[in-house]
Amino acid sequence: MSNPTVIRIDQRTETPVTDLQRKRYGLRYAYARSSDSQSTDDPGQDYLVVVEDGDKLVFALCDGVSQSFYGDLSARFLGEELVKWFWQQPTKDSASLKTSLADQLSAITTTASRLVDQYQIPPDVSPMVKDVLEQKRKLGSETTFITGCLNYSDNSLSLAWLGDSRLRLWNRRGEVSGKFSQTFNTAERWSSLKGIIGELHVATLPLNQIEYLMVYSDGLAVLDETIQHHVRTETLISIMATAQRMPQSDDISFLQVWNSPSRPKEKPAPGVPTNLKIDKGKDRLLLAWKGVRRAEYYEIQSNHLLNRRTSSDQTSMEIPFDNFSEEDTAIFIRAWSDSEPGPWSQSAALPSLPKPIAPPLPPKPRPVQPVQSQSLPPWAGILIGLGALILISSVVMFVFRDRLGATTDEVGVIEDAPSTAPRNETGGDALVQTPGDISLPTKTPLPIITRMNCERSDLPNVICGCPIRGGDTYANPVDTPDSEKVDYVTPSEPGETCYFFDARNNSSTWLRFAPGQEYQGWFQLERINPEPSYIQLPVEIGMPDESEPVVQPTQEKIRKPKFWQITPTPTEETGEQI
Amino acid sequence: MVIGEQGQFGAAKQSQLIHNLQVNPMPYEILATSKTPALIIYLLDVSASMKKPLGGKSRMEVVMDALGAALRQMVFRSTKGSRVAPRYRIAMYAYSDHVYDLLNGIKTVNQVAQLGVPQLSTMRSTDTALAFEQVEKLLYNEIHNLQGSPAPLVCHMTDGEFTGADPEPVVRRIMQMETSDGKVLVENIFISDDILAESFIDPHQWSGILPTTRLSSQYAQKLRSISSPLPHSYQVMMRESGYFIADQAHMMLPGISPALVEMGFVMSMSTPIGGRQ
Repeated sequence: MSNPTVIRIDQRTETPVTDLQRKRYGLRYAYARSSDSQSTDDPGQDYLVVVEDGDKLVFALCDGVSQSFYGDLSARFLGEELVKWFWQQPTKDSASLKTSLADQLSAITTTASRLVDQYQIPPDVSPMVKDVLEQKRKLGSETTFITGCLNYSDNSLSLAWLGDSRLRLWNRRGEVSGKFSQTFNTAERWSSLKGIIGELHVATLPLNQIEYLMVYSDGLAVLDETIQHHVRTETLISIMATAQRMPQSDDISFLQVWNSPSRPKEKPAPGVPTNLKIDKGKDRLLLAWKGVRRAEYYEIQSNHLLNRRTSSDQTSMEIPFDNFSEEDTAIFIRAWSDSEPGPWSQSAALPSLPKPIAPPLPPKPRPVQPVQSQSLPPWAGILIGLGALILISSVVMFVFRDRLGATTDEVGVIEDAPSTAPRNETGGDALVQTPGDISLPTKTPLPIITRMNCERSDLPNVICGCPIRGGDTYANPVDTPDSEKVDYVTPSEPGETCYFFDARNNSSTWLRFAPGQEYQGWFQLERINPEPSYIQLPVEIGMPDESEPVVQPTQEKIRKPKFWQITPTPTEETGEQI
Repeated sequence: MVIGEQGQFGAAKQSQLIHNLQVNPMPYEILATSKTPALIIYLLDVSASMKKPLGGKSRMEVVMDALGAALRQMVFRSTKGSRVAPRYRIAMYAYSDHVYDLLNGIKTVNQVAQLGVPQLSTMRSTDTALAFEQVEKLLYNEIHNLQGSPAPLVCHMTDGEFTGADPEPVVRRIMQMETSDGKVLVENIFISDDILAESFIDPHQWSGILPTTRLSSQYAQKLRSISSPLPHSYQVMMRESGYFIADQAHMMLPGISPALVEMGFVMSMSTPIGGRQ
């Protein structure tokens, strides 16, 4: 066994994709700071370190939490501690690994906290920033991590992780990362103050079962959907460059290790699209190009920020004018096939786009004058005189009411001076129209649960409780940031009652929820079991018609669900709508 | 029941599932970043009545404390290392019978962090329409540069009914201005005892002013009608601060306590941001 080699990235500078091949394994790694950090020449907050000697390889990839105290500090500290610890550890089973690593992660908080306490904040920061940084110091420095050991002497692969950096594994048949799904959580991290926040995840398996693995920080989350297997280095570089162009560009760190004496097989790149033409429509640009064989989709990019993809191998696209900024002057296109992009096409110059016509500003209203400086018009005196006459008459009639035969009720009331305060024209406490021209959401052509099956709940935020069938499986196909951790739900316990929260927002009827939290928000369900149909879902729930009478609460007390509950399968008498 | 995840790294199935569905893209989802900063315009009533007490301090002091806390939180969210990323752009107007530009134009959050919170003194009347006209002019000049950025938000704080022209027409015009992320949002913080029947509200348990909430005064009802509905993304961000506002709530806060005034300013900076919190 040779002396170990240590590879450490420098957080202050970029590391291009770098390969290293040994007899038994090979690796490649890369690191880049966010575009913001590059422009201000600040250190990035990712950290990557690898220790290897030809028979064993240990790595740690850490992503500092930017809103904690100097996330780069904990990322670097923890990365070094993890490789040092893992290098010295004998191979363990999962349970022992989890316990001993958890103990270690707790033990090192003392040293880490001391580092945080001693860290010098630059003296030239403003008082408000200093206040904020001291506030962060009290909360500690935090980071996510993925760490692992590939040990060829006993054919073992040991992995541990905490947070939302990605770990992906492939065997000879394909990707096997699905077994780790649900474990990459943004809320989980290691803290210099508290140690483990969330749940530490570990995995141990025979090393010869794996062909290669990849780990990368969430700054490269675009890889999740873009690549399904090992790709050429040019592809990796290209994807990293695209990620850095995005407004939300974050620090990027990447490591791949392959379990063989040579790189995994690589697929050829598709060809170059040609004849890119841009026509100007009424309010959009019409792009068309000559496609290439094997293309699955095309990527369109401008010289500035615009980046689009076609949903298929179509060779045209329309892009509204307002998607372009003034800095966009040229368009490029490339084809993608089986996770590999081809070269960019020749650019096509953008035609000059009409500037948006801004609505004219309304005329300035008359300035308000102080009352005492305003002279009265001539006819005002007549009105005041009449008013005085009425007032005097009223007083006289009131004083002599008994003699006049009038009752108090019939006497005119002395009018107050008209108020300058605005009056609500609707009066009372009527339901106020939501202001503005907010368009109602588009309704899908799907069956709708009728209100017969809905009951009003006295739970907060719940407008309508509707039953769904126990035993059916429902998928949530809407891929949104909040729901990305949940794709399907199978109600499994009979006798549960289901409640949906009515969105009633200004854009969608869909309902969304997140696991492990109090149900709230909105989501979209699609029934996929028992029938294999991907439609026929009663998704429109709530949005009651304002003119309809409100459904009254049932007499039966409704127990507040801990999460959400499913009713038994409705009988024919209740009229099943699903 | 079982909650599971299908193919975290396989988007193909999800794409097929939604192929035949029509789903409107969600507004107010663009993240505030250095390249796409969020614009927040504060409009602060400094009329004489702001000297009145609220929770042991004057209303003005309560507002400035809450504004300071909101600015510090923006700095907190924008700081990476010791660098404050310009994720937010801020304009601040104080108004009475005149309108005062406190920051001399729009400033980035790092510039405001250098300047600190301005100190204000109370004046006389409440020409709300004039103040909103100034905001309208600012937005008119800015709106076309904001495509691709989060929709701007106007946070109006007042403690009394306006004097002068009715501000409602100009506010409604502002609420019609639109970016690719959605229409301009208007939030109203109304410091008054004459809004709700309740004299005490726990901000961390309160679900907000809904379309059906009974309001005590006509002016409060008017303010509600010119307060935007709370976007879902803002609701999520507020939840992280411990506030559980309902989906249908308006962006209107009854400033009956310092805690609720503070909640109003937290709401003003609840544009979604990138990065781990």
